[in-house]
Amino acid sequence: MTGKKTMKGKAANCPAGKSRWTGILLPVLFAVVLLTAVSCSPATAPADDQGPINVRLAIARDEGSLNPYTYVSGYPGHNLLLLIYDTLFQLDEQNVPQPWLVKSYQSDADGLVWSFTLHEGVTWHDGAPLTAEDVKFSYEFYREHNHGRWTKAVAAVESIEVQDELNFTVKLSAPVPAFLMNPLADVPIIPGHIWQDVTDPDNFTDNTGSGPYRVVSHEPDRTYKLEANTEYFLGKPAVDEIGIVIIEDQTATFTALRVGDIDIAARSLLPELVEEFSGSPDVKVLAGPGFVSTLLQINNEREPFDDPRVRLAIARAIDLDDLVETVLLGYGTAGNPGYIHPALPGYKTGLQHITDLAQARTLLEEAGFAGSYGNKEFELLIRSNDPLRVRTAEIIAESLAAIGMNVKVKALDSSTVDSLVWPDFDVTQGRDYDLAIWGWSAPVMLDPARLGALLHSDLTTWGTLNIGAYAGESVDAVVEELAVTVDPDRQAALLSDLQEMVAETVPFVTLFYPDGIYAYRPETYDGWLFQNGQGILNKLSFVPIP
Amino acid sequence: MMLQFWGSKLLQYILVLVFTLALNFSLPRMMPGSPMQLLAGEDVGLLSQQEREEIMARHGLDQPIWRQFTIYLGQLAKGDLGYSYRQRRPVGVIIGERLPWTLLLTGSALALSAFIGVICGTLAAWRRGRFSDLGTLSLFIFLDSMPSFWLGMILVALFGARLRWFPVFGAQSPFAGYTGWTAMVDVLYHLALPLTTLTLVTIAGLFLTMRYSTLDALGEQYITVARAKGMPEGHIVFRHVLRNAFLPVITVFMLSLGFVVGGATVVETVFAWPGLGRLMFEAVLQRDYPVLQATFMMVTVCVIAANLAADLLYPLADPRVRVEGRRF
Repeated sequence: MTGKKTMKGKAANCPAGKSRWTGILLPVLFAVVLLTAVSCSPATAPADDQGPINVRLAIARDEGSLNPYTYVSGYPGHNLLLLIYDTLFQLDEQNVPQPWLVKSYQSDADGLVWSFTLHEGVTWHDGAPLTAEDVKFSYEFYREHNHGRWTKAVAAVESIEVQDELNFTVKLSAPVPAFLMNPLADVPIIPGHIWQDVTDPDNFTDNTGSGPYRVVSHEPDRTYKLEANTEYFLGKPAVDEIGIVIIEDQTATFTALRVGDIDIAARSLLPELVEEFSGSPDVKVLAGPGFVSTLLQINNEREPFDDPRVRLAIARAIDLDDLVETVLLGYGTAGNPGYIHPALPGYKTGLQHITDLAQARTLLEEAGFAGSYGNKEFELLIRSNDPLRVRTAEIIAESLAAIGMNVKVKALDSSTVDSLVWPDFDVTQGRDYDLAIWGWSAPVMLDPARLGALLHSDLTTWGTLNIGAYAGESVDAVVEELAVTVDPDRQAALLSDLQEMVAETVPFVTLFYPDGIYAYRPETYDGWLFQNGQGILNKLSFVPIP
Repeated sequence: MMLQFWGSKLLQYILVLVFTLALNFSLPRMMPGSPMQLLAGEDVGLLSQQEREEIMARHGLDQPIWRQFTIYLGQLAKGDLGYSYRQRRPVGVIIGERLPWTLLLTGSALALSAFIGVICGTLAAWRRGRFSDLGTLSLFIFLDSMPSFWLGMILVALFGARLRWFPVFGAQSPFAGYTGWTAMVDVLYHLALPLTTLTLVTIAGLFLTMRYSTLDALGEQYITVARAKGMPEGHIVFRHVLRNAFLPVITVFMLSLGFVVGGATVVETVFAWPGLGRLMFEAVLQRDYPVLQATFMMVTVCVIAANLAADLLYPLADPRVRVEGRRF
């Protein structure tokens, strides 16, 4: 460092005139960087009030070629898929299945034989007619070519007999309780003349459907362009073109909405942003119940959580209304201790969550918790990319501390959480966690068959979603009976029993169901229809129920 | 002697490459988590045991890991990078789409920050202790300490959302169908904010290196001699100081060049820029093994290539290291 002093001296010797040059140069350089392209901005076309309606929709991820084997996510992938393909039935605003491709139908008394008549004049995007043969082909194709969602759904279909172009009869091997909903309102019909020679559907990218929209272009990971099917059998859809852009980042998505680069975002708005957006004259916010659940998942296999008293104590310690107010700012519904969303017909009225710290302490005392586990630290796993769940976990840890349960929140990347809670997504492979914040998508709320999968103790056959390895003998019997009951009254009674059992034995704590909150620009299109629990991205937003 | 030196150097690079290939292959598989959900779709929980095994077998994931590795090497030798689990498209094609965007963003940011960093670094050293030196020094240190996502978000909020000067996401206007000159202008227009962000956060390294090495060179005795001879100040700086001060900057620059293909995940995410960094990040989160392997390999190869290039360039810039066989 001997040179240091010398250098300083040298620098001071520099002619003063030159420092002005430096002083000017630096700001100029910055200005150049910052303003590189202000003058280059391409002129934006003026809005044309009379022209066709083009909606720009932002989704977070690519959804493959958007056919039944390549779409990726349950939401919004399945929703977009059903804009391109049709189902025999369609869930209405209240999630009641209504005939769609089907004009009329009837079933025998046992619900084992169903006959259907299709609408006339339904065509595929390539102009070919959609016939009963296509329906038969689709259901058989799904049975033979494995797909996580469709194959299971059509498993009970024994045979389909085609009478003529429009009429066909479906025979079931066993009664299916929600047959009209799943498979009929869930499984898309594919064109037999295009798929007949397909052997590897996972790598088949054709997306010719019969739905209100057709895919005209797809730039992977960037955009899709959907164009209205003007020949649609229920009339021309309300929006002429849906331009889908993929924006992965949440902040970028809502900035794009604010400046008008997109008209609607598929992702739900964070509660704290609602106020800001509601105040904007250009943006409308539509909120309603969501059927996605948020649970405190408990490892029922691991001591001391194998004791139902400890699990009930956990439930009693948590104030759900407080969670909904604090975390969701009121945009949500507190959990039904029996799991099913209160907005659904199957909900057992009168089941109420009770917060009672004194009772929670008594329960723990009875279970001998303090003696064996008073000093143990339990882990509560959460996915680090979900800020709402992180906050939820923090509050729960505090609540449990109040009853003497020492819980540490551990945030991990989502794949790692999955691998601990649900290794390889296969419940028979065991589990390695104490507690976790978890959630199931809307279909696991709507379909009673999947509810059974959460609870049945036989993990290889029935209980494929039973990630807490919960076991209750009486629950198993109810789940099995529910799976073959078609009588609506008996179904309701069984569902009601099931919820009561869940509330008493607490396989998990149902914390809340966040509302679906959607922000859009009404000046472009204002016909969005909120389908209860499932949001506004659905066929009914573009085509009315006939 | 020379041949032997380069021979051992080459061997060294090949060893590094093979080692990193094995590491790139095994690390993702050692991470907790599984690509099962990507492979089977959203209703993965409803699959039977047999269906699961079928899916694993279809992607060769039922094989022992050493067998998977030899298959991978075999494919790699044929130039086959495999299929992405998520996109179900050849990884080579996906990278081909992403790479130009990444090179455009990170390459021009590096060039711009090197240009500005070198000029400002030289001037700051020359004006050491003056206001202009202290001003730029604190500005660049301030920028350096700023998280890039934060800077990016501020620029988006200000120049995108408020002033509406620039677009807030993407690399092109979607569905605009621009061609030729307009398409190029459109890209530049989208490039402005991410480029500015990335340039501002990378400038500091090059600026500081340049400033310190210039200061170092200015303190050398030959500069004193040159000044004593009455050599003009500009002549001293450009002829004698810069040539020597450049050497460490070349090292820093070449190292950064190697990382250019890795993209800038954070900036790409904030601006929804369709580059490789985002692809890699997504692949890590979702355990898309083929994409992970291929992108990691590209970064490895580029870092090695940049090192090699630095090794080759150095003797050109600095005659002192041209001594035969001398390690540098």
